[in-house]
Amino acid sequence: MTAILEARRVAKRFGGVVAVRGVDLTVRQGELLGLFGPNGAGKTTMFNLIAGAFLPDAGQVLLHGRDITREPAWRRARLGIARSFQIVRPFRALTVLENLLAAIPAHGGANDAASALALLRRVGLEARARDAAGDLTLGMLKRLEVARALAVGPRLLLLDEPLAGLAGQEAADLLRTVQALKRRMAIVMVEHNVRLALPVCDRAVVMDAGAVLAEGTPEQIRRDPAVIRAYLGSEAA
Amino acid sequence: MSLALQLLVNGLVSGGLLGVAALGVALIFGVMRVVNFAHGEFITLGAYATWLLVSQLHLSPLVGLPVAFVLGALVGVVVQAVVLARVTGRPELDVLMVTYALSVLGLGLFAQGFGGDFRSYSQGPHGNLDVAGAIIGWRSLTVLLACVAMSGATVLVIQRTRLGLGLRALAQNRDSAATCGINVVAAERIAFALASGLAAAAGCLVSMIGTTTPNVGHDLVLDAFVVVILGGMGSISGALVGALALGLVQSVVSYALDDSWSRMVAYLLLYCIILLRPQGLFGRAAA
Repeated sequence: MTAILEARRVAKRFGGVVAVRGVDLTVRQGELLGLFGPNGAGKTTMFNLIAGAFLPDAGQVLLHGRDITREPAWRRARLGIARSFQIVRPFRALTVLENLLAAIPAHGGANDAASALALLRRVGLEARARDAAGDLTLGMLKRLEVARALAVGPRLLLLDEPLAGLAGQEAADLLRTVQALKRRMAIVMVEHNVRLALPVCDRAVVMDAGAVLAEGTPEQIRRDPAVIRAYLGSEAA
Repeated sequence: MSLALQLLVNGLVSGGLLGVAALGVALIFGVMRVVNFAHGEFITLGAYATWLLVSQLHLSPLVGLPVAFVLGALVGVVVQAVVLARVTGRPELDVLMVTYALSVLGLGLFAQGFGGDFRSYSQGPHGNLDVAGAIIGWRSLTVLLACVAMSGATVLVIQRTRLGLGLRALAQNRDSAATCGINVVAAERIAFALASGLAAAAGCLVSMIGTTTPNVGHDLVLDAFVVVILGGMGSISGALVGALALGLVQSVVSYALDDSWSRMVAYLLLYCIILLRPQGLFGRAAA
């Protein structure tokens, strides 16, 4: 499969703390890659380095072979990298529909609105299109963030803890939506809920202390002694 | 009846001017989270530019309106790119002091360039209109109509255009706006240019109904800050409603007491709002 994103020896330090130390990461077209690890492992920092929220101190980030290491976040979004946030960040005072319209590349008023409504239908929020985003429940906001990320027209979708705070059925629904999306793009998902998220991944990377601890299929990850020792512990048993 | 109408028109004219000035303050704060003390100097820039057009080139002061807007916007782009963009992300107090320094610098430059004399002109709309016993000057009416047109156009741009949607999104959350592909640096520059242009256009109108001095904008912008807090920091509609409310209150107070009371009342109102409804009339309470 074609590599959509390549991170080569990427490193980031905050003062005296090394958050990411020389990480290599490849994401391929059509795959759902899980990024796991304990708190402080460097997962979200890695996300921010890919999305352009932070610039790396060393290393390179390539999108379809193009060096985007120094590109700002808004330009990466236009190149096809979309993301959601660990703590949802909707445009609360805008309507649900406007949240998506702000992200859709402009083509023409009616077309944009139709595309936005189609996306809202896909995540089950069409009926709330005219409501203020601030009035939605957490589960709805999570779905809105996914829809907004899709509105960018991504080739690579980054989902930062999409299941956090969601109840069982809501989490299952969201995972189903995510799985259905990977046919047309690559997805990287940071998630703490390994039990739910690992089985739906095609491949997983486990980070610890800013470095890659293990990489492989969900089954390989589940049996990896280093991963069990550092992260999964009794959960794997 | 005629007295009430007179006070109403006076209040609407001063409220309209305040509204245009406050729109810019609200826009800059809403989008950039910057309290721009130098906003008043853009008003002064527009006032002097119009005075120069009228007194040196013998043009109508109405020509000053688009000229002042464009001049203000251009100077705004330079100030934002050269000064403010370099302090984006710094602590709020640092940015506040930078805009204060810009204001002092502007005041000094205007004083050096034009001296402290009162500048005025007689060209432009003249004569009065008698409406039910109330005397309304054509100049005041022109200023009021221009304020309504500029405020309406600004609200339309903010509420109905793609640019406005981008600015509203940016005002909500900078990181999210960037992940939506909104060029946040360019958007901030456009917002500052628009606000500076509006301030300079307001300055043009101020020069039509009053005198121009180096601190004419400084005085107006202090009331604009009151209005923006009254309406809710960053709220465009709040700024407009707050401006009209303050204009009307000041009109009545100026008549009933005297001019010096009108500013005192404005700040008493500000104090009450901060105590009773810190988010302002149209602002959302912090979560």
